[in-house]
Amino acid sequence: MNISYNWLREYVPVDITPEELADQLTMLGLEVDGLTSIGSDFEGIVVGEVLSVEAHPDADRLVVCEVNIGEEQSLQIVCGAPNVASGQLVPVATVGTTLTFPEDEDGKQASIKIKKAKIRGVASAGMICAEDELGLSEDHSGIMVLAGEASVGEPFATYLDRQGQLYSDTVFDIALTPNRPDAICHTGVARDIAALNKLDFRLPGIKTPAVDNDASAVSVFIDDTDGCKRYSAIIVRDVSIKDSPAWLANRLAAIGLRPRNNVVDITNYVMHELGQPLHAFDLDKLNGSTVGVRATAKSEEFVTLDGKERKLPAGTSMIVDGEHMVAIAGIMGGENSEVGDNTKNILIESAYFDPPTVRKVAKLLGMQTDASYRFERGVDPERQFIAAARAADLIAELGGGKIDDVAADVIVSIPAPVSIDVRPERVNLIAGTQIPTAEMVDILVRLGFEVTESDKVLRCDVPSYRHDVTREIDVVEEIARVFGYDNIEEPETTSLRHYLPRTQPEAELRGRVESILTGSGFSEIYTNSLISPDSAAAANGPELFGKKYQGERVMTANAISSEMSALRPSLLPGALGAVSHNINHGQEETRFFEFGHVFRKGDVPSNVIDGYIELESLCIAMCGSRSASWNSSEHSTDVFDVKGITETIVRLVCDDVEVDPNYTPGHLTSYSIRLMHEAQVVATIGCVGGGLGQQIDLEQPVYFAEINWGLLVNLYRAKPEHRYAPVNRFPVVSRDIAVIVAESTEVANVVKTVRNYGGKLLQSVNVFDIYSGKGIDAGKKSVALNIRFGADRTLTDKEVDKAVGKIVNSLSRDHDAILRQ
Amino acid sequence: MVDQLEKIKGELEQANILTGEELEEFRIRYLSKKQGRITELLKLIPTIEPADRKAFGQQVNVLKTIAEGMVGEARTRLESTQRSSDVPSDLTLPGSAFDTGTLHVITETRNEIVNIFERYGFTVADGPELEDDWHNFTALNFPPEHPARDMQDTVFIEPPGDQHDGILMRTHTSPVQVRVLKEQKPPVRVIVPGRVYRNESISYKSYCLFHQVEGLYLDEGVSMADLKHLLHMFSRTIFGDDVVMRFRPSFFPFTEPSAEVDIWWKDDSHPEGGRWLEILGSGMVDPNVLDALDIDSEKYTGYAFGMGIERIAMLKHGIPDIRLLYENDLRFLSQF
Repeated sequence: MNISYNWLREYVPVDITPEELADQLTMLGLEVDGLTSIGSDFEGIVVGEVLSVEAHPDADRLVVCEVNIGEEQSLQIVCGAPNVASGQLVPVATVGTTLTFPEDEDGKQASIKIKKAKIRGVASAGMICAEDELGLSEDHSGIMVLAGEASVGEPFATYLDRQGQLYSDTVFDIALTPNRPDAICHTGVARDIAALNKLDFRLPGIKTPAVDNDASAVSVFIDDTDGCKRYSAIIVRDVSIKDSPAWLANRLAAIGLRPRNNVVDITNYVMHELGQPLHAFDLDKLNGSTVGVRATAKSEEFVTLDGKERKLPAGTSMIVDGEHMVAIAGIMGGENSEVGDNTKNILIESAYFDPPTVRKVAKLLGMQTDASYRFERGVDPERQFIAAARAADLIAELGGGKIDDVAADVIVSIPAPVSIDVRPERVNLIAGTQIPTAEMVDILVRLGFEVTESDKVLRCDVPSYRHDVTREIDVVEEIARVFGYDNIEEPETTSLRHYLPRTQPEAELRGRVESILTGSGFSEIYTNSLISPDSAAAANGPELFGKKYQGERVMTANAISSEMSALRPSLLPGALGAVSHNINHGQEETRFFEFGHVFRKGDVPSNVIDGYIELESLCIAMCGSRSASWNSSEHSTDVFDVKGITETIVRLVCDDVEVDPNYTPGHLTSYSIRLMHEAQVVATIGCVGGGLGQQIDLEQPVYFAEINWGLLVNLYRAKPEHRYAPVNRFPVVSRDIAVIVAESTEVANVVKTVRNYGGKLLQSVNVFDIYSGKGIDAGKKSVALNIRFGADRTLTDKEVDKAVGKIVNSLSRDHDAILRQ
Repeated sequence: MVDQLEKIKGELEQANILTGEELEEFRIRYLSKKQGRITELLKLIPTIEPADRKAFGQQVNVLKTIAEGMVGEARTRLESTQRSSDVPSDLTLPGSAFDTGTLHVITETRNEIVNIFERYGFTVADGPELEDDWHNFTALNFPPEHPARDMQDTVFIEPPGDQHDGILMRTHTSPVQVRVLKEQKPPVRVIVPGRVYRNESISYKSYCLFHQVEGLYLDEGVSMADLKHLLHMFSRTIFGDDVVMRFRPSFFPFTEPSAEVDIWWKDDSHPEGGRWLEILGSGMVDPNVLDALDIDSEKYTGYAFGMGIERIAMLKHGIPDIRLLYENDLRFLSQF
């Protein structure tokens, strides 16, 4: 919202600089986002006369001008404008002048300093300016040629002043919060400034016509009593429609409105002065001397004054005359009743439209106008008639019309005045201050409250424009912000209860896992939770978290783009995107991990929101080769790398994990391994399959693991605190054996057999070699195992031999294994 | 005799034992039982005049100690040289690689923020990212059809059936305040880090999601002065002791009075030498929020605050574009 410094000062005699005022507004809760200077004193710019224009020797589009600026020597200036000609009087920026251009779309202001220069080899000592370069308009079609009386050499500002065009102002861009409907206008902002600086606040004097709804020349009715609570109408006759005078046009231009004609400009002016949106109808275009508010019975079409056809849903609150719809209530007028050049008689509408109704319609129609913005927030319900009268006054004054003696003001209901009891003690308790009661009263009175003090309670009558203030706490805020948050003193010490938070299990586990992963060369990534529906479908395999959590992907209802219209069912698409980005930028080897939430539809007991599963996941992804070094050879990442790191993480929490391999290529994985704990999938490890890989155009194999982090945390939480186990002080006996088994035998089963039949002495089994080829029959492989035995005494060879013998027999029985001699 | 002593002392000072043979030679020459020159002098001690005997004996023993020390030193030195006979030919070769990765700068910053508040007695809490309208808006005093809802562009979720209207991605971490207060009676002192969503188009300054840290403290007698104190403490810890902070009125539906915190950011390209940058929003918990949760708002007062992790990370590290945080380029990630 734009607020003009000059305009503000009509209502409050504040004489601090715009910068200081901006600080004050911000500290009052009316945050100033930007300050723009409008107009300038045009220092260094003088009126010059073009004496001659000659072609530039080296540039077709440039000319070389001799310009007289009233000094002994004329200036040579190179100019590129198509319209320059000798004899013209023009504004000339002399050497040393700084020109500041208007803000561009990014809010940046460029400025240039005029210097003596050579342009394509020809000396130039100044610049002939176009209107946009002087900030006078957006016209850049050619240099500004001065019309009217102008003397060579006089300051350009003097010329403009004579033309009535010299105007400078500062505009505050205020980011208005929704709780301040009273401050969407200049008088509202001025009232705050007056309260803070303890200055007088003055409203313009307004003459009001008599109200008689029966005798009024136009009869007003309100059918839609939900949508409209009050409708005032004042008629001004025999108005001449013309351009607004400079003071009015400048006011509107300063706050960014394009002046149109005196009547439309006045309605805008009053809206920005008093906060009440007005609409001016051409009275002669209204049928049947009647106007009112009615909701549409069915869906209809309507052309608004911007020439656009709008589809109105049934139930839209509309302004109608005797026959037609003439405006969308609180949003925009219709083309059919618009004020035009030939309009003579005006009906000024000033109404109170119900905020939620206006908001709903504006949203449905996708229209936000200056009027709807104000109605949505709620205008002052007691200001309608006064605002209409103010506009009528101005129209009569500037358009030469005559106001009807009798006007209409139909009221359905006006909210009852609110009174609030405020305890000064409570104010100080919440704000942490010691504001004297008298100061509180003073602040409230300056803001327009009526305050009666009795028995340590302030009875505060809230002004009608502050309908956001309904409770004691709201009054606390009013007092605190005018008292000044800066003036709230911080306590020097703070007290803590006898309690210190403990590190929570999830944070503890996450810290350990982060250390392991970063220590192993993995970098953490953050990826978008909103992904394309195709990626979401491709990554939504049942293998990832198990059937229990299987469900359809979750779609958003109002996506900005279809590429971001689904919630990720897995962290994998994001990780693949990161891998792909890095490959495309020359980083072939990647090791990533991400913690994040994933979503599916479905019903499980852990759901917080019915119908939607939200899981915490940890994804690990690896791609590419570890490059060779002088003392190590290149290592191609494989599935066992990712399996190793995943097992390391899972074993922090549980040892009891079953491996469930799946060799069948699928859409999501080419092959996969599930780590199961008590029939739950703790992690899925695998190689990304073609279906998903295609989504992001990746050719390289990517190895990944997706861990059900929430499950792991729960297991970690349930884990009893670790107790010390005695360290064995006796020597360990180590034996290596190699057995030949069928190629198809899974080594995990071989190891399991060793574990099951190793006896009490068995301490560990480690697979240290797998071999097939020369010396081994086709279809067979050799599995070499290192087996360690120990006990809390020294073992004899005999008992170890016995244990090994039992293991070999079991392997032979269960896997047809032959001991390799 | 004295000459002998001086002579041997001189020889010992000159001696330089470099090999095993030299060591053996040295030992035999001075210390061997049969012919060692120092041993011989030792044998002579009884023959010395009683008056000079003591002094002479002392001097010989000093020589003996020196010689034995030299033998011991040379032996240790030569043995260690022998053991590492395979000295690497080039010690300037790079060390074996132990590659490490990095935590993301968002995690780093989040941890830094959370740690500060944990030291102040706050406990971490969390909640779902997919929320319902009641927790995200209504319970936080955003009435239906109120313009305050426009402050946060919301990502809505396609409902599976009619009964699920109003499912959305949380626009702030504040619904967790509601979830915590439903479970826990005051005093409550929690901090909530987490991911939030906004339905905004992506640019250098905004992304469709970001991360927040929310704080809530509810107890008897908590005031705005306490809030200001805490946030000042936080700003100093994060941005340095000389930080200049501004605490100014603002509006959030779930706090009243509300305040935003700006810090003065030095920037020489600005005419005033810097500018105010907003770093967080805060305020006193609105009584409507407490009343809806059956908490006595007359007895308990409290404050809440929330900040964007990305914003603070970008400020601290001079990151100009939020999209860099989600691009996951290794050349970016490895910088933190």
